[in-house]
Amino acid sequence: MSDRMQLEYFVTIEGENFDLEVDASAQDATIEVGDRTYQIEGAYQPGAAVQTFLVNGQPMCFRIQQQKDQLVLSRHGKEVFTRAMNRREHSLYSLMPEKIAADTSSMVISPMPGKVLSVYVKTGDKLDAGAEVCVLEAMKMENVLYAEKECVVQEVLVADGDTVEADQLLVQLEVEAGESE
Amino acid sequence: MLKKILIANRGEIACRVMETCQKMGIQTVAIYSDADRLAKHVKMADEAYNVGPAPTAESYLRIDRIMEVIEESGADGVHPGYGFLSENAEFSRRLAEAGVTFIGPDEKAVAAMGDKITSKRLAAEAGVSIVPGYDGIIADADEAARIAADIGYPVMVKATAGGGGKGMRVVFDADGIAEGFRAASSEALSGFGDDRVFIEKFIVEPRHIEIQILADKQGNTIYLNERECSLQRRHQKVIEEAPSSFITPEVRKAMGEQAVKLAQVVDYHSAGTVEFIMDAKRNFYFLEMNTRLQVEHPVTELTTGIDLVEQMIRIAAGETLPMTQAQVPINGWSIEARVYAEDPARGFLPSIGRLTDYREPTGDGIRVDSGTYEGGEVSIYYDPMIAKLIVWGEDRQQARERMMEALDSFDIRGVTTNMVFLNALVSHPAFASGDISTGFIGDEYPDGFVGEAGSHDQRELFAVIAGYLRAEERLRAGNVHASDADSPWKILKRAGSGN
Repeated sequence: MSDRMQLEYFVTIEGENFDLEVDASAQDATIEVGDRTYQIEGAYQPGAAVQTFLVNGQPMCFRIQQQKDQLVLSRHGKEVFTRAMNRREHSLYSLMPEKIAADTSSMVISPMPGKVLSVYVKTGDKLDAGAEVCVLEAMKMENVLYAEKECVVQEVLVADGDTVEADQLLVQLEVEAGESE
Repeated sequence: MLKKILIANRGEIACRVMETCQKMGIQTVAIYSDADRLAKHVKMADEAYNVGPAPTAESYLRIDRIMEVIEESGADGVHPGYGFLSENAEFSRRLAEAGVTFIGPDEKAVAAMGDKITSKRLAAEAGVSIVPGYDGIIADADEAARIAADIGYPVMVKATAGGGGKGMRVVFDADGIAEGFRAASSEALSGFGDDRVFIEKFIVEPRHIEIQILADKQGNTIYLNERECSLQRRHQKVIEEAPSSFITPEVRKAMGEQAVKLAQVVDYHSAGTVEFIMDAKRNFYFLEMNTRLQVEHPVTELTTGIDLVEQMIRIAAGETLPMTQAQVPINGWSIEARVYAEDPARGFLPSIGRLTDYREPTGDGIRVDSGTYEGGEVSIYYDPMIAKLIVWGEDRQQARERMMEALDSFDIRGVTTNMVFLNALVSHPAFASGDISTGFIGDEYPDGFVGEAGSHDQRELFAVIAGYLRAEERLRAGNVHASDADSPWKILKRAGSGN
């Protein structure tokens, strides 16, 4: 087996595409992108959150985090979510459906772990958009949670004094059909 | 000298105080709540006592219980740190009654400076500049216009009972005063049931600059230069530095002398901080005096070489200040960043959990004040500050660069932190040029902070690193496959012999 490998990768960051020609060994790589060449050195430690590489001879520390199939890279306050894809992944990627965030406007969800101080609503209550639904306490700070839209309270799932997790559904609301934002 | 000091606090500041006690050969006593059984400050102390359940009102704020611990342990001094009981007059009084030395100013100074109206009055009497304004009752819009003209525009019309931005109007010229007065009064009435308003000078591009003072019981008071804490988020300091990049030696001297005068008016002893607000023309006005050690005290220590906790202990024990004003140096530059367990992408909500990995950065000019450890927990009961990262450099540029590198190499996992946000601030061109104000963070990141690359070159660098990581991963995988191609038994044998 040869010590070096020639690889081609495609990276998209903030809508900008980069085609990389990589010539790599286990310790270093020469990477061509556009008309520039980068010389990278430094052993890769899988799983390390902080790693220093020599980039064209200059030591640079990066924060590296794996989030699902994405890589979170950060340095000096700049941060990107990205991934390097090979040719096949790259051609298939354009076929992937775009993720659509779920509509949570009919749910009051705990933004963080904490304690429910008080719930102001009960089943059947009609609420205006912006009405206070409950108060959550965490880190000695009180956080009021509001209804996003005009709605009716369908079910209250917590009581005063309950300890709740992040992203827990606290109150289910019913947004009237035909009502739009 | 004191022999045994109880530290009535937790976290990084408890550890910070104990470090100095140990250096001085003084015994230390920790107090802890049920949630802090395994905390760093408990391990560091010579003795540790449980003072109750996790909520602070049932543990760290329990004066009666802490008094029992003092008696049981035989502590002859108490350092309160910051927060908790550090500015609590009853605690000071109880300690005095028990004949225990409180390492801080006396009760009268704390009470005088703790009251906003009294402290302003005392400041004015001491010749300290205060924000020009009128705090009598204003009858109508015409009177408001006369007063505003006296003060000079722009002015702020503010509800007497106000808070949180309600009942507040900034008026830039005489044309706007009638409407500003009407709007502020009616908001004040609907918001607080009280339509009284007052008028004061509106500070344009305000900066927060504070003076550290030290005073002994013999009446000697000195100032240890300034700290600039203009980078704030909702009135919470985020980045602090010493010295300030904005003020001149003349302004420093004027501020320092006013701070000393104010301290003398209340017979202040111990360490204290006089906070000022400064406008774009370097006019400065008194805000308040903090009668305790401040969170950001390390930047003063790194640029003066003075251990503030040590001086507080020596002063409390009756020693005289070891230096005069002329002997206070300014050496280099220091910046502090407060590392919090919070998520800038979710409106800076606290992020709690276990620190699965925790490795502090090391290197020239780097100091980390922390009260946590790998495996430790950020709980819902206490302030989510994980550590204070403090750097020193020959000059501001070097300090900034060290901070940027140190923030990138601080390995904290298990909770989300604000470190990328802190680094975005420190590497921001406006911060680099010193062009900041207390409104900077709110103006620059109105919807919170979301990381981005920004420029083509930055994106390209990240793309190259992403490619490098993928290639290195591929090479490792390739090597494993190569071994697989051999007889599987060979691999087993190799694994066996390797053990």
